[in-house]
Amino acid sequence: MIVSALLPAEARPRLVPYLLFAAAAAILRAAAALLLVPLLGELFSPDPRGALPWLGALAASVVAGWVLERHLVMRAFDLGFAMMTSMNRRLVDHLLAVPIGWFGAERQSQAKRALAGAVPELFASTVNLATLASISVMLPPAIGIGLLFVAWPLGLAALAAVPLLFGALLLAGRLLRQVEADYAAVSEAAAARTEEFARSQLVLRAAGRIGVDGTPLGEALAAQRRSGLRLLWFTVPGTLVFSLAMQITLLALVAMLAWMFASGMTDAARTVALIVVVLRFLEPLNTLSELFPALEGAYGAAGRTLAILDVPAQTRPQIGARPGPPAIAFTHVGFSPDGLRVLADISFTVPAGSTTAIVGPSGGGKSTILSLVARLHDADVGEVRVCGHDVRSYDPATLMDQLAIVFQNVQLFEGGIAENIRVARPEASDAELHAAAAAAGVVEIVERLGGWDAPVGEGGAALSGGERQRVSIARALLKDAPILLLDEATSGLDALNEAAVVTALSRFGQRTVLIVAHRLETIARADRILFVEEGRVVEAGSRDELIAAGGRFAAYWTHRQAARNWTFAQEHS
Amino acid sequence: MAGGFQKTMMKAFGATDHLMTVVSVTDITPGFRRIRFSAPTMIDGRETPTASYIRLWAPDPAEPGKVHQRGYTLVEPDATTGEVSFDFVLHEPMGPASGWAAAAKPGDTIAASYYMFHKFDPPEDPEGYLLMGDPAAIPAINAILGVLPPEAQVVVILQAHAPDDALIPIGKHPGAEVIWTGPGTGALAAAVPVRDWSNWYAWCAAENAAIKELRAALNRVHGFPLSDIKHAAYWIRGKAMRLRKETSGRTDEEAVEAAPSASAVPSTAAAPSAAAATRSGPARRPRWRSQGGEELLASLRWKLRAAGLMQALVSLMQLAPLLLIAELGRRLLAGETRWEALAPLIFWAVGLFGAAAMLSAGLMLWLHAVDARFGYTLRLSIVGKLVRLPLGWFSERNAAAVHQAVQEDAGRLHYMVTHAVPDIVAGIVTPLAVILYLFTVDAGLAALLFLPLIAFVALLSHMMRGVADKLAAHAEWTKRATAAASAFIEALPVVRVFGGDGRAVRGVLDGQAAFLNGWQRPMAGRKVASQLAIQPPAFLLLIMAVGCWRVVSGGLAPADLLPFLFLGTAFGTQIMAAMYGFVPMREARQAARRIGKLLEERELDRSLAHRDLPPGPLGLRFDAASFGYRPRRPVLHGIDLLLAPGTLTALVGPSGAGKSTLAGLPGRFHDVTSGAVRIVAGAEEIDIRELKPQALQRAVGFVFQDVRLIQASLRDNIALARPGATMAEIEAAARAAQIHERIQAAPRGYDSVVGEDARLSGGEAQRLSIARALLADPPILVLDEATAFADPESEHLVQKALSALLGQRTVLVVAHRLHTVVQADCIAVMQAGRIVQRGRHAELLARPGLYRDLWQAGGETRKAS
Repeated sequence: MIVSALLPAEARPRLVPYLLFAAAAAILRAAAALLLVPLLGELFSPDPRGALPWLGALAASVVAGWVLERHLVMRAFDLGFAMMTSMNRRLVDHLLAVPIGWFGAERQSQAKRALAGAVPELFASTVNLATLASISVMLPPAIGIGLLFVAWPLGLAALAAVPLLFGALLLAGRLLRQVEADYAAVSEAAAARTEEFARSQLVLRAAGRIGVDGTPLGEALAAQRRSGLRLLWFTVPGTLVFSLAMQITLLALVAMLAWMFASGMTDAARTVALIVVVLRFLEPLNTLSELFPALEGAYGAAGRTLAILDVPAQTRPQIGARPGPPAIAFTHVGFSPDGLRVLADISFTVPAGSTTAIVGPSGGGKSTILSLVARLHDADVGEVRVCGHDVRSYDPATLMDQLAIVFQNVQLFEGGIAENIRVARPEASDAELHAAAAAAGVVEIVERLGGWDAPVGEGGAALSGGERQRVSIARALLKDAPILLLDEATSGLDALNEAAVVTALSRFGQRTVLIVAHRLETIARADRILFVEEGRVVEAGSRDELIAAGGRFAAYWTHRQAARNWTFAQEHS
Repeated sequence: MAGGFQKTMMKAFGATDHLMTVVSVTDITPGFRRIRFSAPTMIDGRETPTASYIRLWAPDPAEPGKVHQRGYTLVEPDATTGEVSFDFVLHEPMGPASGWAAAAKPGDTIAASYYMFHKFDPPEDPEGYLLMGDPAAIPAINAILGVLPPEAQVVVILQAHAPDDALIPIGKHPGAEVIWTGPGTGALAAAVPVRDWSNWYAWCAAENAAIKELRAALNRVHGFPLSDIKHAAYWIRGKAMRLRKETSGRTDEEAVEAAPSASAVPSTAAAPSAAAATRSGPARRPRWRSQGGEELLASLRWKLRAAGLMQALVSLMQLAPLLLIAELGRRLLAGETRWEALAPLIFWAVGLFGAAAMLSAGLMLWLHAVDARFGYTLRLSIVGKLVRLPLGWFSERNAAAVHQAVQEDAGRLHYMVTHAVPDIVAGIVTPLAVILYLFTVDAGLAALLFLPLIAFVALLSHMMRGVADKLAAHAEWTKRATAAASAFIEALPVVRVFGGDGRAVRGVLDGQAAFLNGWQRPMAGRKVASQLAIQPPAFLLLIMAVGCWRVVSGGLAPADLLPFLFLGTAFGTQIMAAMYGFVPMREARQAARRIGKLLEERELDRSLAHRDLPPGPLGLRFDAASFGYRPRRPVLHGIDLLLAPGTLTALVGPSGAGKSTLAGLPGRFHDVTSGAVRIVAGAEEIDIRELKPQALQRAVGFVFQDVRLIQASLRDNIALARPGATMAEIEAAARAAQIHERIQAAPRGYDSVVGEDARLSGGEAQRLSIARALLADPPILVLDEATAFADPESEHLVQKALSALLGQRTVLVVAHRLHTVVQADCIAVMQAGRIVQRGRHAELLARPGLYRDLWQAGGETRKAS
C-alpha cells in the first residue's frame, strides 16, 4: 500500500510483475532447500553416486535463482529511480502549493529532511533492501508448502509456525521500538530541561540559583534515571521474544522429526536431511531480523515523505481572474486557525492609491490581516478582495505580481545579498538592483560584508534584524508592484538603521499601501487608520477624526507621544 | 613518451584517472620546480580543500609500463582554465616522480588520481598549529598558512635535504615561527622544541619512516594525543621501485588516514631528543581538550569488558545446540536408534538454549542498569559544568553544543552501552567459533568456506575501482541537494511571494538523481553479484558440490557434512554483520569526545572569590579593561570608565562597537584579559573577581533584551532572586513595574504558570523582568535600552517601570536611541572596542565627532514626520 503510494502512477503496474518475479526467486531458493532431501538421502546411502543428478538439479536451481535475483535487483532499481524522480517533483510541486502559514520552524526542518534526506534514503532502500526482504518474506511459506509434499506432518507444523515466527519478529520489533521511544521521550524531556537551564543561566545565577536539586531540571534528570531503570523490565522480553520463538520452533520441529523417525515414518538419512531443511526454513527469518532496523527506517522515511504530500494544498482556479485597479477590500472576514480565534468579522477597504495604517496592541491580529491579503493563509469566513477579485480566484503568480511585501520576520536564504534581492525580479538589470539597494540603505551592508556576493549566512544570520528588513525593502523596491504590504519592524534598530529604513519607505509614495504601523511618523502620514484590537477593527478613520473622537486610538496616540519624549533619569531626592 | 603508454595506462587505471598536460615549467629554486598542468577533467570546479592532494602516477624510468604513485599538493587550482600547479623537489638520487619532473617539458603528459582525503580540518580553536615536513610538504604547508587566522600561533619545522632547500619560499604568516633542521630520519622528531603543547594541533607530512618517528615523539615525549596529529607519508625511503598495485592500498590506509591503529607507531621511541626531553620533561602534564572523552569512557571500561566476555559466553551457548543437533544427526546416520543415546543430546540442547536465554536477559538487565547510572552521572556532570562556565559562554553557537551533547551524543552513548558492545562481540565470536569448529571437522572443506568471501572481496574491489572519485562526487551532490533543499524551504515564503517555481532545487535534485542513476545502475548488477556470493545458497551449493565429490571419491564421511550444512551456510552473513557493528561504536566514541570537550571548556575562575559586599552605595570602575573572545584578537581595548555611585552612564555607538560586551563584564559574563573591573565602595575598590559569586550577583543586576522567564508561577518568577520575599513585597514590585493588573487578569493570578495559563507578550515579559529586578534591588544596574521598544504599544508602561527601577542606583545603559539618554550623567561613545568620546549630551553635541553624526542621523528620522 505504502509502496504504491510512493510510486508514480505510471510505475505502479510494474509492481505486480516485480512481486511475481520475487515469488519465483523464493520458489527457486525453496527448491534448492528441498532438493537436499533426495540429495542427502542418496549421499547417505551405500552408493552415494546416485546423488550426482540431484546435485545437478541443486546447482541448476541455485544458478537460476542468481540470474533471477540479479534481474530483480535491476527491476527494483528502475522502480526506485522512478520513485525518486517523481517524488522529488511531487514534493516540490506540493510545497509550492501548501499555505505558507503551514511552515513553522518544526515543519520547515521536516520538509527539508523529506526532500534532501528521505527520498535518497528510500531510493537506496529500494535498490539495496527490497529484493532480499521480499524473497525472505516469501521463502519460509514456500519451504513449508514444499514440505507438505515431502513429509506432510512436518510441512503442516512448519506452516503453522510461520505466522508465529513473523508475529514474534514484529512483536519484538514493536516492543523494542516502544521501549526506545519511551526512553527517548524521557531523555528528550531531560535534555530540553538542560537546554532551558543553559539558556536561563543569566537569570538563574542573578537569582543565586546555582544547584539543581529541587528544580524542574533536577526532577527531570531523576525521572530519566528512574524511567531508565523501569524500562529494563520491558527490554528483556523485546530482546528475547524473537530468539526464543526461533529456538522453540527449531526444537519443536526437530522433536517432531524424532517422533516421525521413532514411529518409522522416515528413515535416518531422510530425517537428517529434513533437519537441514528445517534450518533452511528458519534462515530467512534471521535475515529479516537483521534487515528489520533498516526496513523500519525506510518505512519511517516513507511515512514522513507521504505526510508532506498529505498536507492540504491551497485551491487554485482553472482560469485565473484578471486584476483590476489596486484596491483591497475585506468583507466580514474571520480567521481561526486550530480553533483559536485570531480575526473576527473584519471589514474595511483600501482604495487604490491610498495608504491605510493598521494600529493596535500586539497580539491583536494586525500582521494576520496582511498575510490574508497575500493569501499566506485562507480566511475561514468572509471574502478578501484584491484588485477587484477574491484572492482565491487568482492564479497565485498573478496575485503575487500585484504585491510587494515587507514582513516583520525577514528570512533571507543562503547566498549573496544581490541574489537575495534579485529574487524579487530575476530579470532586473544590475543598475536597477543597485538603485533599489541604495534606496533601501543596503549598500552599507554590502560594504560591511565585503561584496554583493558575500554570503549572508543561514537565514541571513550575518545580518542584524534591521539589516535583513532593509534587504527585504530593497526587494520590494525592485519588484515595483502596485500594492505594498508592510509590517514595520519593531526589533532594535539602531539610530542609523532606523533613518535608512524610513528614508527607503518614503519612496513608496504613489502606490496603494497597507501597513502595520508602529512609528508615529508612519501613522501620521496614513490617509486612514484602522485600530485593531483582539481580532476586530474597533475604530477606523483619519488620524484627526480618531483623535477628535477620543476613543482607543486617541489614548494610544497620547501614550505614544509621551513615550517618545521619555528619557532615562534617576530620581534625585 | 609513447602514445601507446598513455592508452595502456588509462585502460589499466580505469576512468577516474585524469590525464594532465604540462603547460609550463618554472624553477623556483635550483632544487624546487613548479610545473603548471592543464587538467580540465580534474580541475572542473569541484571543491579543492586546503592542502588536498592528488596521486601522481610517475612512469618507471627503467621498466616501461610500470608506474609509481606519489602524493602532490594542488597549488593554485584555477577552475576557469582547468589548470593547476604541482611543486617538485629535485634531489639526487631521484625518485620516479622527481626524475620525471626533471625532464618534463611543455606538452608532456602524466596521469593522476584525485583524492580528497587530505582535508586540512583542525579542531576548533586549537591553542596553536605545529606544522612539520620536508621540502615535499612545503606546498601543503604554504596552503595551510594561507588559511590560518592571522592571530594564530604557528610553529613550522622544516627539514632541509639539501642546502638549497632553505631557499624555497615559505608562506607569510604573522604568527609563524620557522625552524629548519637537517637531513636524517629522526631529525624532524628531534627538532620539536620542548614546551607545553597543550591543545596544539600538529600536522606533518614527510617520508614514511620520519613520520612514524615524529608521531611517536609527539605522542610520547610531547603528550600529543594521536587524534590531534594529522599526518601523511608522501614517499617511502628505499622503496623507489614500487608498483602501483602494491602501494596504493598501503600508503592510503596506513599512512594517510587520520586515525590509524596504535600498532602503526614503533614500539620504541628512537629519537635522540626524545630521551633528552624526557629527562628534562615538561613542567606539567600537558592536556588536550579532545581527550576529555576518553576519561568519560574510562569509568565504563571494565564493565563493558565484562559485558563483552559474558556476551561471548552467551554466543557460544547459543551455538552449542546446533552442534548437538549435528551430533544427533550423526548418531542417527550411524544407525543409532536407542532413545537413551539420543535423549541426552536433546535435553542438553534445550538446557543450553534456556540457559543462554536467561544469561542474555541478565546481561541486558545489567547493562541497562549500568547505562541508567552512567547517563545520570553524565547529565549531572554536564549540568554541573554549565553552572561553572562564564555567562558569556552561553552564545547561540554554544547552545547548539549543549543541545548536541544532551540530546544526541548522550543518546549515542546510551546505544553504545546497551547494544553496541554485545552486538560486536556476538558478531565476532559466532563466526569465529563456527569456523574453528568446522576446521576440526574437516580442514579442507572449512578452508573452502573462505572462497565465497574471497569472491565477495574481489567483486567488491572491482566495483570499488575509481570509487574514490565517485564517492567524492556523491558527497558533493548530497551537500548540494541538502543546501538546495534548505535554501528552497527557507526561501519558500519569498519564492512564493515573488512567484518562483523552485527551478533551482528541481535542477539540483534532478542532477543528483541523474548522477545516482549513472553511477549506481551499472554497479547494481555487480553489487548484487557480490552479495549473492556470501548468501546461504552460495555456501550451500559450495558445500554440497565439494561434499558430494569428496564423499563419492571416499575422502569424506557423509556424516561430516552435517556440521557444515548446519553451521556453515550462514558464515558469510555473520561476517558481514560483524563488520557493520563497528559503526555505532565509532559514533559513540566521537560523541564521547564531543561531550568530553564540553566538560573541558574553560571555567570561570572563582579561586580568588572570597570577599563579601561592603555596605553603602556602590559604583563601578573599568580600569584599562581589555577583552577578546580569542587570544590576540581583542574586542575591547583598555577601557577606562568610572561609574560613580548613583550616576547614570550610557554606552552609545554603532552596532559591533563592543557595547554589549562591555556591559557584560561587571557580571563576569567574561573575565577581562587584562586590566580589571572594580566595585567602588567609598574609598575602597574591590576587583569583582575577588567577590563571592552571591555577593557579585547581589551587587550587579541585569535587565536585558532577551527576557527569560522560567517555567514556574508568575510569583516565583518575580521572586526568583529572593525566594523568601513576602506576597506584599512581590505585589509592590509588580505594581511598580506596571504588571500587577495584567497578572491579576491571568486565570490564576500570581499562581498562573508561565507557558501554561500565563502567556505574556514581549512588553509584559519585560515588565515582569523589571519587577524581578526591583525585588532583587541591586545597587548597580546594567540594562539594555532596546527593552523599552521591543513592544511599542506598551512602551509607555515599560518606560514607567524602568523609571521606577532606576531609583537612585548606579546605572549603565546600552542605548540605541540617543534621545533616551540625553539626561545621562555621562555618555560614553564607543567605536571598534574603544571609547572615542565621553561627556554630557550638550558637550558632545557641541563638538564635531561620532556622537554628533549619530545624533543628526537619528534626528532626521524625527524631522521626517
